[in-house]
Amino acid sequence: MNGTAWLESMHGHLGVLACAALAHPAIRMRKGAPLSSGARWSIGLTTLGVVGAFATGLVIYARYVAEVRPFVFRASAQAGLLFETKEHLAFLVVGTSLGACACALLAPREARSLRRLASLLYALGALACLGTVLLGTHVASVATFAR
Amino acid sequence: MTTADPPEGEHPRHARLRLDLAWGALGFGVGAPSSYMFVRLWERWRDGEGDPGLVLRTAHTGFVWRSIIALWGGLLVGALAHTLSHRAALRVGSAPEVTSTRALRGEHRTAVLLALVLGAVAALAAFFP
Repeated sequence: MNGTAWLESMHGHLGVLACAALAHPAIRMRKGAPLSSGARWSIGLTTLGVVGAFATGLVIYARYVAEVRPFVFRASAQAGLLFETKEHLAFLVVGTSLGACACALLAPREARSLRRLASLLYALGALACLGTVLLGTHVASVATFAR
Repeated sequence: MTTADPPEGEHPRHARLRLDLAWGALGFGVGAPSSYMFVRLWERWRDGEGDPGLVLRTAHTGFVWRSIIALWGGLLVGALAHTLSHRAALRVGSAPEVTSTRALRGEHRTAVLLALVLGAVAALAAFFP
C-alpha cells in the first residue's frame, strides 16, 4: 500500500470517527449546562478529528482527482457526481463544527442558550457527516487508490 | 476573602467579550456553509446542469475556491453577529448575565431559523451535485 492509499484509508477512518464523535457534544450540550474540563477536551478533540479528516482529504485531493476520479466516472457517472455531493456535505461539516466548537468554548457560564445553539449545530454537523461517510463509502466501493 | 479581593467568577467585561465572540463563532458556523451553498447555486444557475464529461475535464479548483469564498462569507456573517451582540449589550447597558438573557430573548426563533437555514443547505447539497 503506497502513502496516498494509506492517507485515503486514514481519511475514511477519521471520517467515521468524526461522525461518531460529533454526536457526543450534540447530546452533551443539549441542555446548555456549563462545560466541565472533560467536556471542553471532548469538544476540542471532536473538532480536531473533523479537521483532521478534512485535511487528509485535501492532501490527497489533487491526486485523487487526477488518478481515481476518472475510474469512478467510467464505472458509474452517478457515483462520480455523488463524490461532488460528498464535497459539499464535507464543507458543511467542517463549517458547522468549527463554528460550534468556538461558540461552545467561548460562551460564558451563564449563556446556556448559546451552548444549546452550538449543540444544534453539532447535531446538524453529525447528520451531514453521516451523509458524507455513506457517500464516501459508496464511492470508495467503486474505485480507490488501491483500485 | 478581604474587601480588597476581586469578586469570584469572571470579570464582567471578559464575560461580555466572550459572549460577543461566541455569537460571532455561531454566525460563522451558519454563515460559512450557507455561503458555500449560495456560491454553488450561483454556479449551477450560471452553468446549468452538471455534465459528467465536463466535471471530469475540469482541473477542479472549483471546490477550493468555493471553500475560500465560503470561509470569507462565514467570517463576514460572524463579524456581523459579533457586532449585533455588542450593540445589543450597549443598548441594554447592564451586567453580562442580564444582557445575555435579553440578547438571547429570541433564542427559540433563532434556533428554528438556524435549523431551517442549515436544513435547506443540507438538502440543496444533496440535490445539487
